[in-house]
Amino acid sequence: MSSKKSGLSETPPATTGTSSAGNVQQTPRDSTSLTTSANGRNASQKHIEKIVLQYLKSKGYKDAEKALREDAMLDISETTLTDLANAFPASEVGSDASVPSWILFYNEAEQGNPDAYNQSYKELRRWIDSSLDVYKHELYAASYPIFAHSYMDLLHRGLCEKASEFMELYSSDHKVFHSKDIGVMATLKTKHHVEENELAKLYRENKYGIRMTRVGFELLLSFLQDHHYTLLMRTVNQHLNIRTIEGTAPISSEAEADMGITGHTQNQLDHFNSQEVLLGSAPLDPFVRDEVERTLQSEADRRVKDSVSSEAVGLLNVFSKTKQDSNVNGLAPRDAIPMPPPRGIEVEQQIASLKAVRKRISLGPAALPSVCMYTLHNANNALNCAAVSEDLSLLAGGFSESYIKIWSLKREPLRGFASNFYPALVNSMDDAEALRDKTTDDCRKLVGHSGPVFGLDISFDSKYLISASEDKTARLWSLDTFTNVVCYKGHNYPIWDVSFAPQGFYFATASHDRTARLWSCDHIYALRIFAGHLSDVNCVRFHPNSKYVVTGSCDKTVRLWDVQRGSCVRVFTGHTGSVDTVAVSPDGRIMASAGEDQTVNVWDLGSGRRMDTLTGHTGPVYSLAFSQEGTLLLSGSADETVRAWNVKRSASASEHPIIVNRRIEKQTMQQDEEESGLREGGNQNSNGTTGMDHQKEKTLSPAAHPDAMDVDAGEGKTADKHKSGSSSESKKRDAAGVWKSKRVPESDALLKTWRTKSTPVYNVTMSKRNLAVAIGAFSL
Amino acid sequence: MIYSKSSIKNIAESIGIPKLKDGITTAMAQDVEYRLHEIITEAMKFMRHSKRTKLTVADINSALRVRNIEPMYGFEAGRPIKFHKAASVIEDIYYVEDEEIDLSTILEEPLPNVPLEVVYTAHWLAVEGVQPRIQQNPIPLDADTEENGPAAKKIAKSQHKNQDGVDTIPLVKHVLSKELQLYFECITGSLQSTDPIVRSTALESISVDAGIHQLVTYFVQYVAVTVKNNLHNLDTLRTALAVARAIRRNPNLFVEPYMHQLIPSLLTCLVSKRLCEEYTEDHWSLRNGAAEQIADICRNYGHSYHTLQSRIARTLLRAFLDPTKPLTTHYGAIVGLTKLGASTAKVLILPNIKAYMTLLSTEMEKTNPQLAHEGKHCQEALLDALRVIAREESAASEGGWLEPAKLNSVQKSKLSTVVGEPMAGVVFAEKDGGEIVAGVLAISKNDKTPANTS
Repeated sequence: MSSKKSGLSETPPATTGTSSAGNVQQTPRDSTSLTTSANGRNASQKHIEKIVLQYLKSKGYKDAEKALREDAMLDISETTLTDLANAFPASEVGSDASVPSWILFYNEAEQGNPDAYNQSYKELRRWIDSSLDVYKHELYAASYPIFAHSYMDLLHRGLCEKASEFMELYSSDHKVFHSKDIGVMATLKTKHHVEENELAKLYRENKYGIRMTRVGFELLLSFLQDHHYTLLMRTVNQHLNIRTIEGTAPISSEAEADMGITGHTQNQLDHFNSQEVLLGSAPLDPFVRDEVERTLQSEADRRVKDSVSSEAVGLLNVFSKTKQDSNVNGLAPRDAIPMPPPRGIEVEQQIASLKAVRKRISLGPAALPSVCMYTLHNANNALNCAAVSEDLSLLAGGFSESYIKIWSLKREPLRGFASNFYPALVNSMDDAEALRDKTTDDCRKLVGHSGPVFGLDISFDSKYLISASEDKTARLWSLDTFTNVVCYKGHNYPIWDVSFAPQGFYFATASHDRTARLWSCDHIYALRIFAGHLSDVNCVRFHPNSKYVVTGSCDKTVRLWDVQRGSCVRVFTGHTGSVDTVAVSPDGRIMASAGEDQTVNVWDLGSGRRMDTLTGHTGPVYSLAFSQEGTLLLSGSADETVRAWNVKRSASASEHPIIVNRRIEKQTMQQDEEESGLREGGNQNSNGTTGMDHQKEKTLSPAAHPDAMDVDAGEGKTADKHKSGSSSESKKRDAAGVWKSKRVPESDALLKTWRTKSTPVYNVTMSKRNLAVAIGAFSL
Repeated sequence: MIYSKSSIKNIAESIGIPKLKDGITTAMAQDVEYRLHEIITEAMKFMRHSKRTKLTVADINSALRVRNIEPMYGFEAGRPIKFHKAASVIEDIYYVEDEEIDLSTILEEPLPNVPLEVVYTAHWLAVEGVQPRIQQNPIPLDADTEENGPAAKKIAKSQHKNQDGVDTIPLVKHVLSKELQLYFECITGSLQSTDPIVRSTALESISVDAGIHQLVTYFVQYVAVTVKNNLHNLDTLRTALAVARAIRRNPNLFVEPYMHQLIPSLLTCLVSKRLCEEYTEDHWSLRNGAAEQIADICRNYGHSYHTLQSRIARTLLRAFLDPTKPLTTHYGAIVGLTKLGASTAKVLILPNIKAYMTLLSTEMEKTNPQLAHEGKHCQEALLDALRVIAREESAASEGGWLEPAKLNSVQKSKLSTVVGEPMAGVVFAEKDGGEIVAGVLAISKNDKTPANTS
């Protein structure tokens, strides 16, 4: 990123009000003026020191006073501050006159004038309102933390009436992006509340991050200086973490400028987001690789003997291709996280997924997926979470009444193994099968938790289920016996979410205790604790190569953690509400997050930058899923819709994310004018992708007739045109009937909205073959 | 401030602290409000993770438990809590209703039903990106329902309610092309013209044109409206009837579904009390025409709608036998029944002629020329009915032809027992009286008709 720290923030962070005043003084401009008048410098320097000393004395900072006196060798005179200010040499009245007057003003405001905050904030607001549009966004964004801290300062000084008046007057300015925080802040009534409230502590103890252009930043500073708004100045210095962006690209929206509280200084953030991440796919175990190859080869040979054209040949081709890919882009074996030795099931799994790749329907903006909806009835608002297994054979739901229910999606009876039997009598597979219980039910209840079940996940081989609950435990269930196998204790607060690693064995939990933890199935204690979030961790997902974990939190950030080192490697800021769900694309390059603020953000994991902001949902977003190619994003929401989004991932977009964002902003502003042109562009684009997909298909399946392919491609193009037309229609339609009569500007990337009948969508999943599955509970 | 000082005072009083100082209540109110907010914020997290949008008592309890505070017992009911307003002079006080429960009755009650099992159903929300129009999916909202959005939503809501088993009817908007609209306007315009050639051309067009199927409903509507609004305008009524006939005659149109809309208009034209300005006008032919059409409809569609003919016959019979109805209505009813077929006439008219004739003669004896005129027509109609019956009877007889009876007094008295004295006289005055008498008497001989026994 083309950013660097500004002159001001290079100074060490000040801890007291006094040094803040002095701190501001050290801008380069002032120092030059001091050196030019070298003669008067000593005298005036002495004078300033005297004033500072007097100030410290009047404030009762004994140690500081003593230290200063010793360092500067000043004697104590009984003059007052005012005298000193008057005695200040007239020649120095100019830029430096501000020093004593600031101290005086500061002092006075601190002691007497309770309206100082109100007045200065009002002026600031007026100034921002009248400033240039280019800088408005960032200035507005910067005014929010100033507002928040002014309010808390007022409370802290015991001016409760003034504080609530202040809140009433100005809170509407920031309601759009910060309504939740403001709601909490408005409840603070006394000094004690400020001292003990979680959110207030967060604001007081951490710096609030703002992105600004250099010009905007200087404008703000000079405004505050010129008008002697020391109170606000102090807030800026003490509580703001301003990151200046070089270059001419102005910041186009308040949301973009607003980084919020990350709990890290800007240095640390820069450090985090510049760390190297290895996003390649996980290497295949050599044993599994050889075994798969051998199996496929033998299959192919057998078929050749029978002179039957076989799919094994095709599979072999696909496999060699993926092998090449992973050689080029994959992780080196030493970088990958250790896995237990393969048990044989991995080979089957690998072959199954190869078959799935071959049968996969390629999706894109022009080819939308089929969505299968599983609706749960009679759940009576007790369903908290739901999941389907990767092979779409099992559906599991976690309920408030502490149990988990599993259904067979094939409507086959779920027959578990009996737990008591004589091992001596079991000699063959048939004997083992005979040991299954004789039930004919196609659903099972798993009872064991002692609190609402908030999260669950099914392992890749559909053999295990992991669940997380309010009772502070995670439990591993075997789907062979339908019993609880292990209970993992470690969290001290309710666990919100749990997720298996893509290759199984490891799982991660996210908890109310502000940590996410990594576990392996064979250890009852956590292997890693990911601490750093400033509030509840709401959701956790593994990166496809299992090397990283992505978490979303109530502190409005998303973080990427290195599993091996247990440290944070990326911080993503930009959400305006808590993040409830995250998803990583199958190729591991991009990540999407969404939550309470009803927007979906798409991030580039490598650069840590936002690629796109998708708006259109009118309720909290519960779930996200990428298509296998990563070109399409599905989201399920409380607004009873499933939506499909176009994920633009052109190289230029990831290089200049800010420009991408600005373009979107412009589009929403001048939608009417540009819409047609843009859609044409999109058309061409999508045409291109379909063409590419077809080509890919050609290479994947050499057996297919080329002529048929061409016809297909032609049809694809025409169908594509129709679809893009209908999608714009559907957009209009959506605008007509919105959930709870709310209207949200829909971003350009919205491809399609599918409504359900009064069924909030709890979960969306993409199968390996690109079939989308949505789960929801019917509720009136 | 949501939580007021007086609330604190009220609560303090309720737990036995009579007097609290003002300063204390202010501080308490502030703090209580803050604590409540704190708990609610915490509880919201539980609500969100339970994927709900309504806060429940269970959420509050979870929040309290997380904060290491004793949860509130006794409020976690299945149903939502209702707050009641207490009548108070100064300000409103709300409380939760806490009804007394008699344990013994609860113990004696049978156990409540086991709640329904959670089940899942599967359906396609989208097939290759397109949402199929099936019962499980909501109705797509039309692009132009922008202004009546709430209405559309209401429909959607009602659809939600009867989700089980009721098929949803897609709201398809009928779109009429510009050409058809122009055609319809042109035709209706010509129908109102005074030039008979223009009118007949228009009717001709309706009866042969192949491409006007979409307009059928509009024409049916046109007939209904015209009949309704021009009950006394004979010419217009005639045109309307002609339009109805033309639609039915057009071989390219499938009019069966519209018959139920057409029949009421035709019946109106048949049995209405007055269909013209002056009684001397020839509304009789209009009635005859309507009767013809109804009979035609019954013949054509009677096989697919079994009750059609019987329903119409019943309606007409009721009109025929009601002495309070004017003679014009009677006429229409008789003609209508006659046209429905000889068997209908035989069963429904013949037994009633005798009784009806007494009514008719009293009406005709009045000096009113209009009544006399109408009565005459009724007589004619009855006579026609008898003719139809007799013809049918003679055709059904063994030789296919009945010898005309001698018009003597014996036959006359025999006939009088069936149709009554006055009618017998009328019949005897006719040229083909012999045939009628023979037919009628053959019926009464063949089967002892109800009239004969009575």
